[in-house]
Amino acid sequence: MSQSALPAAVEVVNLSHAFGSRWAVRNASFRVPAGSLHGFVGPNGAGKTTTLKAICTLLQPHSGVVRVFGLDVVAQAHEVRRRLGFMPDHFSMYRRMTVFEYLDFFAAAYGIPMAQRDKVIGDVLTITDMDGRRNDLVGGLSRGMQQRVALSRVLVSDPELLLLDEPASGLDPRARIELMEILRELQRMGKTIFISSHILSELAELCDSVTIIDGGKIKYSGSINGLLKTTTENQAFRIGVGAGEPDHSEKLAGLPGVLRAERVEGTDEYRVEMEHRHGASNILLKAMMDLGAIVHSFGEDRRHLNDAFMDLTKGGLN
Amino acid sequence: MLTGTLALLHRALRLDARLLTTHLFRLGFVVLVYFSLVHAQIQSLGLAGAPGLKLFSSMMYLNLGLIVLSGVSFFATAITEEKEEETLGLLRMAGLNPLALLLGKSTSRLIGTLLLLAVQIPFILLAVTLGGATIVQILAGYCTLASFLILTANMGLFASVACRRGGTASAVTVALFVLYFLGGPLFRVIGPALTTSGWLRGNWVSWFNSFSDGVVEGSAYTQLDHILSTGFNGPILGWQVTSNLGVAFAFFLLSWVSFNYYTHPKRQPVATRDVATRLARGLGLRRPRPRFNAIMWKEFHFITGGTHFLLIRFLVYGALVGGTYSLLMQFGGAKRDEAGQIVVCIMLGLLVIEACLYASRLLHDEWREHTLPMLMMLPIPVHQILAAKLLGCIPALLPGLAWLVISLLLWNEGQDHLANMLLLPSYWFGGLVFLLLLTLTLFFSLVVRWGALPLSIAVMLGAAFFGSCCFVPAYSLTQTASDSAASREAAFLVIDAIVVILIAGLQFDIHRRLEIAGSQ
Repeated sequence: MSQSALPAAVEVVNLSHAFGSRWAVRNASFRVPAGSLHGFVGPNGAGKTTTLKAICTLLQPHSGVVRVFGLDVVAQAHEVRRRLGFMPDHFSMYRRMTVFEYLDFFAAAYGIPMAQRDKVIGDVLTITDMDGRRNDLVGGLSRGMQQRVALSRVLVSDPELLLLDEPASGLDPRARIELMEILRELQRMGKTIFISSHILSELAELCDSVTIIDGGKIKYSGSINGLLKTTTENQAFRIGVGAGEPDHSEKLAGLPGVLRAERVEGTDEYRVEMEHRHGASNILLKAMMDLGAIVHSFGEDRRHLNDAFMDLTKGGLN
Repeated sequence: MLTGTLALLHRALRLDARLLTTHLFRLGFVVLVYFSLVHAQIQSLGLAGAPGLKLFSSMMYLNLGLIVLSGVSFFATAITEEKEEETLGLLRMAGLNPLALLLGKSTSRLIGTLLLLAVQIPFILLAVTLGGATIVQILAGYCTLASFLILTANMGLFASVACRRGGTASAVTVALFVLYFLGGPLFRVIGPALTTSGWLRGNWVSWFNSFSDGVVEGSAYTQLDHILSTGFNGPILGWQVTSNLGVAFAFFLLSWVSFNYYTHPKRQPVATRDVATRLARGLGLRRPRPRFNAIMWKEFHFITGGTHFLLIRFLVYGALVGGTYSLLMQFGGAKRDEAGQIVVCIMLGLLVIEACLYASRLLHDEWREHTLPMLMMLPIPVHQILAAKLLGCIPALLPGLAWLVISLLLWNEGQDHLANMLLLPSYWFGGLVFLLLLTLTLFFSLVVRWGALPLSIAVMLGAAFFGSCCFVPAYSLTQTASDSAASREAAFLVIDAIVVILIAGLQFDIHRRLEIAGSQ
């Protein structure tokens, strides 16, 4: 099923919000399909946190409509709050509570009956691998541990949508990888995850879809594959051949639609850049066969999300 | 070297001079002088004369009160705010030595506050024209206040250096003030007792008596008492000025010398369980879990200290009421009614202090810990969150209230006052003013980073002053027109209604500010 055919967990239509005379977000529109892991990327000051706060009902936008599972975030704020969990980018915790007390407080505040709370908290602590620290004071935990507690807090009300603002910032590589694993597991459990982050490589690996915002305007919203294709007019392929093969780059360059073909230095690979056309890969593969080359590997030379991001955000901060 | 040391002070002073709010604040003091003038003039219309002296004395005591409040809030948080924000290390890394930090963080505040005193002098000289005060009295009065301010600033600075948190530093400053104002009279009482019991002999007696006199005469309150008496002929720079400046200098030196010790990273705030919780855990007692209202549970256990502290307070207040009452009856020679009245006053004061402290922490702790967005994200309306927070603190006041009621039973008139409290608008006024103070504290705790409680007390003092200038004449007119208890109560009913409207307005604004703070 295509992304647009899926029901929307979040729908933002012409969202605008200004702080004084400065527009933080202007006419932003995008949708997050239900059950997806959606990345939200943009340079500092692009309007990410403002958009997140509008989605999670903390900020009333000046204009535009934001719906969460079809509910209006302004008119139906309380219903929306029951269905989403927001983890802000800064540590905001009751430092004098133990981990269990902290989660118990939020579970009670969300109206979970006492009889069910032990099981809910136990499950959440298992997911975040914090079961052994339930009696520790929150303020005495390391940053990575606190991040897990914050995630546990979000999960305790069993929200359908998780909004995570820079969840991996300040975490060491191990904690970061573990967090990503937890997020994948949560997606498998059917949660929609909307994650704002600067770490593009991780988003590329983790997310199904992405929205890029810059200067308060949406530059792209859709699948990661779509982003990598739309940000360039051309298509590139990498072809691995057997060792000691003669150089075919000139012949490849002469093929119809090929813009550039070169042997990658120090390897037995060719990089061929072609115009977008239907069946381009077939044409190229057939040509290689005709040349008598022994093809070991053949694939699209995908651009990295970093390149796409730099193209869309004009290569720097606003 | 000196340029580096003075860099932070220089920057703070420049910043202070550029801020519009600083100048508006100074203008506010001029307005205060104006109202003081009106107040004195109104009073002089009656039988009381010497409006100049009235103006001068009201300004002196008002300044004295404001200096105490600034010591508890403004000066006591100079260094603790950096500790709590964990920015002290960054300042040290920027090459700022302890002296530079002390000058930049505290002395700049002191200079700003001294200017607030200086701005009043040209206007207060009107007191000479109005009659009753002399130039010598005015100069001596302002020298007394300036030296007391310098002492206050450095006492607060030392507390701020020595304590990890602003609240503790404020409490230490309060303790130092108690010693400053009550130490002398206390020594004067203890001295003869020690001599009779044989603890003090020979030269020690005269030395102790001189020390007690020195402490009493070194108090700004005593000195102002001398200055404001008719026919004051003392020196402008007397013992109080020199002793206060000397002690201030000693506090500054102590802060400088101990700075590195107290601000060592090992001594910075760490998350620990409070004493009562640790004691209870040791006894195998656990904190109960949230049942009906999670927010009420949180406030009760984490703002007021929970069941363990409730029990401790009940026992401490009981001991205080019983102990004071017995002491007054057995050794003080007081009658039952007098002792009961004193105990009621003590309990009332403690209850007010306790409630004010909860009010100052209720929202400010959430704001400081950045937990407001999480709270605002709960599927509970803001007014219910606020109500639950307030209700969570009420059980903590029960021990104080219980002992207040018991104390009222020890005071014959107390029972009449209790009955009047329920029936008469003039009695409601006191309660409403107290509620206004609490609401104002809640409001300021969302507006200022530190010192919401002293600021609200200062505003209430200012408002009382303004009220006495505007409402008292109006009230007197109603009394002149109809001198009956009914008209008095009717006048109070109107004033009560005004206070209720003020409280409602502040509540509305607190609600609005909470929503804004939650989104930040």
